[in-house]
Amino acid sequence: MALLELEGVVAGYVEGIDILNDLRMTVAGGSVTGVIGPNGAGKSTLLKTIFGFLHSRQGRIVFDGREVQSLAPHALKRLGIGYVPQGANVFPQLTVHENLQIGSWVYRHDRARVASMLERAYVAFPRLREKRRLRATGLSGGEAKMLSVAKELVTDPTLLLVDEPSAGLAPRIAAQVYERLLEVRSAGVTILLVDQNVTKAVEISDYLYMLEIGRVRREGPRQAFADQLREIIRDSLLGA
Amino acid sequence: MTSAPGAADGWLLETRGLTKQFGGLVAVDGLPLTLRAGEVRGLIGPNGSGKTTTVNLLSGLYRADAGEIRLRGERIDRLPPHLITARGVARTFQIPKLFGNMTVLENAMVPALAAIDLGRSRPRADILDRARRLLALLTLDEKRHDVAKELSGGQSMLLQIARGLMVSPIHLFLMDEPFAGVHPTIKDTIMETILQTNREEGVTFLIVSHEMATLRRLCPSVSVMHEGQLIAEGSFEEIANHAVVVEAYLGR
Repeated sequence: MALLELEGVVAGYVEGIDILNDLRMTVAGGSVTGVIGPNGAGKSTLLKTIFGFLHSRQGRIVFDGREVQSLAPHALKRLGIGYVPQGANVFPQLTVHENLQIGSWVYRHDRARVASMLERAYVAFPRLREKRRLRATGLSGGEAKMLSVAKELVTDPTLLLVDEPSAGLAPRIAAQVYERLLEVRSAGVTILLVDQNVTKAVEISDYLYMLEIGRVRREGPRQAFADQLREIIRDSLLGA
Repeated sequence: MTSAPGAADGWLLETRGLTKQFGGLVAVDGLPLTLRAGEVRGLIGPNGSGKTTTVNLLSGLYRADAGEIRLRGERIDRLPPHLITARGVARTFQIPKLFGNMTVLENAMVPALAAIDLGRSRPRADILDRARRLLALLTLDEKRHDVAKELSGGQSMLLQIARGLMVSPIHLFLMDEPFAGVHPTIKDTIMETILQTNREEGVTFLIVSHEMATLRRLCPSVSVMHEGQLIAEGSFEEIANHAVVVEAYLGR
């Protein structure tokens, strides 16, 4: 069943320039859905639009049976959407523990709930427990990325939007981040993943979309993409 | 007088072993890039492959750690940016860099003013005439008295191009993502300007872009970088069927 559906979504930053152009997309509950495409295809804009940082000019975004295209990020977070932007999205001057507390901000009045959320995060990310009193500036790039993910997971989202999780990380660390994402999926969280690493995206996604200039150029299950990877690259090089 | 070796080979631009490191990262790694006068060449590659660093090296913004750059046979790799510009190399930046508090027309005239400082003055009427014609070509003439900071992103890109074409003589125009985030009609204006100045004035272009469809309409040939190295050159059809290029874009 579709957890998230986009229909005819048009969005952009400045007047007259649409970055997403009549975009439609379905994210099945429990899946990892991957989005690939060249620079400027609208991949990051897609996530920002779903998470309400950017409001669509046209179209519908339906999350868990409810139209959400006019909601603000904090409201979407309450509904169960988490967003892990590119880079390390942490408060560098706060400790690891404080960062996680901020992640649970929308539930701050329910202390027992927050405590159990944080405990779960530490179970999932033991490394963060070890460093919980350390300021986030003292974390390595990989640890900061883990904290960005953990910070979103504390609110127990049903859908996690993840933008370029491996950007700027050494391959070994990137592999750990992908492993964690697969664990997150196993725990029942649906993931919408934007990635420029085509090979990796195809490897971990159940279903994929390829965007080009704000439209869906191709879509299909992992195997269909895996079988045609070279043709897909060739097509995109030819801008055909 | 003997001509310099590069000139004898007929290259407008020739780099050999061009290398730039940032800490442990080799951003440009022994690049051999050659351009003939009058070419419109694309420069593509996956993110982080060294394209912008190459443009920054060619325009003198970065100093190479190794290797050389020759323009019409003359070494330019030790020259500061303004002296490279004085030899006929212009560029645009992906995020437009303009003089925000100066007018559109004043921005366009900056290269001519800089040339006066180097002892190459031209009659003011000629400079103005050239600037107005370029602003008209780039659809900015009516905005010539507006301050540049009021322009949209796309208009700022157009003004960067007008300003670059004011470099005199202009041999080589380096463009870094000129089509990124601009309105389709502005994209058309940029394409038309490239084709027209190439055809009528013989300006050579090296264009970094991720927009394959647009680049393909402009560039008979394209150079492909990956991890700082030149991995292929040829027509779009050739490079799209080049196994090494496809692997690079697969992220392996």
